[in-house]
Amino acid sequence: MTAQRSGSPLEARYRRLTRWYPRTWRAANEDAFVGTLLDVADAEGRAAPTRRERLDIVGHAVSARLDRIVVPHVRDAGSTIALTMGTGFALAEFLVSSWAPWIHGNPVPESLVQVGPFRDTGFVFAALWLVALAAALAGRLAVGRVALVVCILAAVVTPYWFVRFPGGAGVSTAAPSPSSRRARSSPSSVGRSAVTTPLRPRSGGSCSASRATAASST
Amino acid sequence: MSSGELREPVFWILTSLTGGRQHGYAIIQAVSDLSEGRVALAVTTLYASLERLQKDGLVQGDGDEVVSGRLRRYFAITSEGEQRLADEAARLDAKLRVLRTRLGRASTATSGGAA
Repeated sequence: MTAQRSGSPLEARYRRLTRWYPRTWRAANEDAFVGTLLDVADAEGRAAPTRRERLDIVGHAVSARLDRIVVPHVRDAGSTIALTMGTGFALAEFLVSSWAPWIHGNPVPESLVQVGPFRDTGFVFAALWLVALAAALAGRLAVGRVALVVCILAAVVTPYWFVRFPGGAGVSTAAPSPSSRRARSSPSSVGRSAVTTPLRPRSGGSCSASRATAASST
Repeated sequence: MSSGELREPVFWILTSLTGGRQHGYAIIQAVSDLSEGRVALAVTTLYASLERLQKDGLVQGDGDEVVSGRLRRYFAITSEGEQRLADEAARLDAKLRVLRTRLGRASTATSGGAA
C-alpha cells in the first residue's frame, strides 16, 4: 500500500491513457479522474493500470469523442438505419445471387452449379446479419455486435480461404438433366451466366457496411 | 428527466450521496459497502454517470481539494436528485407490493390446490 505521489510512473501511465478522451473533457475532468484512479490503485496496492481499466478508459473515451461528433440519439438512429439496411442488403443478395429459387437445375450444363441456398457462403452472412438485427431489437446489443464482428472477419477471411483450399467450398458439378435443359430455354436463365462462372469463389460482400454500424453502435 | 427506472450505478451513486458530499473514491467505497460488495463501480463508469447526473441537475460539483498532490473533486446531491430518489423509492415500493401479493397468492394457491 505505497501511496503514489503526484508525478509517479503510475500517474503518468493514467494520464497517457486519458489522452483518448476529447481535449475539452480532459480540461474539465482529467485531474479529478486520475486522482480517483490513483486512490483505487493505492487501495488495491497496484503499481500498474489493470487490463480492465485500460479497456474501459479507451472505450469510454472513444464514445465520448463520438458523442462530440454526433449527438447520441442521432447516432442511435444512424445505427438503426445502418443495421436495418445492412440486413436488407444481405438478404437481398442472398435471395438474388445465392439462392435464386426461380432458377431450376443448372442453367449452363458445362459449368458448375452455383445457384442454390447453400452452394456459396451467402447464407452465412445473411444469417449473421439477421442474428445481429434480431439481437439488437431484443436489446441484446453485445450479441449483435459479436455477430457483426464475426461477419466482418468471415468476409475478410473467406476469399483467402477459398484460394488456399479450393474444392472445399461445397461447389458441385451437375450433369445436364432434363430440368436443366428446361431451365436453359427459359427466359429467366438468360441473365444468369455470370452466376455460373466456373469455380469463382464468392463470399457475401455485403459485410463492408457493417463496419460503420459496429463502430457507431458503441 | 425524472422518467424511467434509475440504472444500477446511478441508483447507488445517488444513494451514497444522500449521506453528504463525497469525492470519487469515497463514492466507490460507499457503493461497495451499501451494496454489500455486489457493486464494484469502475472509475470510468463513476465519472460517466456523474457527468450525466450533473447534466441532468441531480448532482453538482462541490469543490476541489488537493491532498498530497492529488486532486479530489467532491460531489453533492441536489434537491432535484433527492426528489428523483424519492420517486424511485415509491416506484420500487409499488413494484414490491405487487410482487409480494402475487407470491403470497401463488403459494396459497398451490397449497390450496394440493389439499
